[in-house]
Amino acid sequence: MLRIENLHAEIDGKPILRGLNLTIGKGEVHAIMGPNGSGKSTLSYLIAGRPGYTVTEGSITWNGKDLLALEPEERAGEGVFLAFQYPVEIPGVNNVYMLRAAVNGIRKYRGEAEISAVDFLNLVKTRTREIGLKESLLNRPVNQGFSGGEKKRNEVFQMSILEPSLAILDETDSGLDIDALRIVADGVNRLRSPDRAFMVVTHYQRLLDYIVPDHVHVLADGRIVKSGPRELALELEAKGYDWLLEDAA
Amino acid sequence: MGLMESLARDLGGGEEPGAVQAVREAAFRRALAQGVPSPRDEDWRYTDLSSLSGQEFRAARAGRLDQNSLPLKDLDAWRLVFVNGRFAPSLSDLSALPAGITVRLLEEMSRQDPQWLAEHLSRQASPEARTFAALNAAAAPDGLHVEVAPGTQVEKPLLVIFATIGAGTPTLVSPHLHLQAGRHSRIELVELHLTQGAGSTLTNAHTRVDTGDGASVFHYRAVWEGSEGSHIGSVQINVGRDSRAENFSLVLSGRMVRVDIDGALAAPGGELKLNGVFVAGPNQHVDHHTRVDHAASHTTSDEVYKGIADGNGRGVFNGRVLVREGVEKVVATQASNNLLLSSDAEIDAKPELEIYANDLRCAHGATVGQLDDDSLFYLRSRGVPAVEARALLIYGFVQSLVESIPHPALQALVTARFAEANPSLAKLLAGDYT
Repeated sequence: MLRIENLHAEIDGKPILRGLNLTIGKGEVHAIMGPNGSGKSTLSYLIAGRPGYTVTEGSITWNGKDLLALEPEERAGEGVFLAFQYPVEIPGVNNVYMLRAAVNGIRKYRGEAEISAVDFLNLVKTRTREIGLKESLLNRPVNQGFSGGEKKRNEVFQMSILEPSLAILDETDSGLDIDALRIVADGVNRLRSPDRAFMVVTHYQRLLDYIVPDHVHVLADGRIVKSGPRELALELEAKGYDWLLEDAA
Repeated sequence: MGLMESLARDLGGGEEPGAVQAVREAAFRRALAQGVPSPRDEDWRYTDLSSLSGQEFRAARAGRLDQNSLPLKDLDAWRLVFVNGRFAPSLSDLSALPAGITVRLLEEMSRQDPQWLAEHLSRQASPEARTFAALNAAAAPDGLHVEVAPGTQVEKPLLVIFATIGAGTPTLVSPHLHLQAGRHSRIELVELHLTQGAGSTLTNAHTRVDTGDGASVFHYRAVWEGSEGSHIGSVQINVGRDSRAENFSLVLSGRMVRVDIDGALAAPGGELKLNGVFVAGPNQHVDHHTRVDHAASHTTSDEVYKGIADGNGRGVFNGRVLVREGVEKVVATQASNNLLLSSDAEIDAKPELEIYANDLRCAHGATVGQLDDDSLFYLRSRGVPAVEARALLIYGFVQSLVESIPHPALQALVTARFAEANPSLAKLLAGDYT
């Protein structure tokens, strides 16, 4: 279970999150919606452990583990995965070599043996097919020269290889046409399981037609200002965010 | 006693023919007149040789090489090994050398054709010769002269290993290499400098490459000196008409390394490519000075250098491009990208363009940066441990350049160096998932 309590965080002295509370249980899919600048990406980054933020108050725990005390790779070892809104292009670092280092890094953290070359290769092949990633992208430098859609697909591909127990999707729908969106959503839905929690961050409700959430939360001004069932997303689509912001103020 | 004075004791009085002795003396006088460069010389601004000139270097005697530790065993090549500047036939393999290649030792030429040798060395004694090139001509006990006959396509590289053996006391070794590629010939030359043994060593190497009209020469020059090994190398490349010369300078290790690469494009249609990868680890200093002289129309030069400095390592890249007055249709590009791995590391990158012509396309750029935080976080967020993420990114910085070398054994030499600094890297780069 992901438990975020009274989270206050700032960057360069500027407060972004101001007392955020959120609980996501295993097997649940929660959507985080909200206007630009409300702190959605900050929340995603804080869970994954991106340096540069200062947590001034509050806590984030995953299955009882204090995530804020862990390095990013240790969080990955605990099952956390962040699909980036803007996947980073890394020249000179081969996509598959990176993934193998990731798989083995996670296994080592868990005290497991390294994956064999054959098993890894089979896993990569299977997932490549499932996600519809072009095979030619596998041995390219990470995300370099990928189209916007290919980058997002690569994020979901990586997620499907690493099989996280807590997957955070940060605006995975942005920059995707409808076909790509469907494929990405299929990839996510295939991973849905009673052991796995999802936090889906999106500005638009469109993605939620394909990845149907159990709960929808509205993040505004660094706090969750409203929570509800999936219908809340439709309401937001129709009415926008302003009515909630007025309520919150 | 300074560097020059101590060396003077080892020069002259040999048994070489008079003509050769005379040119060696002239070369030494030239070196003396020039003197050991100091940071007051613009060309040596960032590289201080005072630590060398304070040592009493003596010319190396014969040395014994540990054959087992020689790198590039996997390179399918004709192999020549020089130990302390002298040819080591037992370590060399020239079996089935094709008819089009002639390999001669300078020591042999001194007996057979002293006039030729005197003339050959005299270029390094000319009033334009720089100190260390002159010193090389004065001191090189032997050397290699390779001639490729016109039209010969040499299918395997020629590997020349120059080993410097430390003897406890400061030791100078002066390797010498000359490649003459005939018209429309093609050859790959791999030149490797390494150190064995203990104590301070100074390798003062000189290489000249002359490419005949329409010839293609690919020259890979690697420096892997020991922690007390210093290296001063000068490379002169004369590019013929419609010919192509490539030089790839790999400086992987050395206490104090300075490499001067001079490319002369004096005939139309000449193309010169200069690539370089250098690593200045803790307590290491690596300085590259390249000069490209576009003295003829329709000439092209392209230069990409990547440098890495770690710890208190120090790197220098100075790339001069001269386009002479009156030449036309020149293309000259240059990029110098540098990576600093610690706050104590420093790299000075300086492009120098001197353009006296109008009809040309010229581009240059120099960057000095650090590992990208976003990339580091991205990799770590996937579960890649920080140490491995850094290793991947550091190698990634040079990967495209290194993998442009068409010989896996040579690429492996570079990855071995990177794996030395980051032991996890060897495993990360192992395997083939294509």
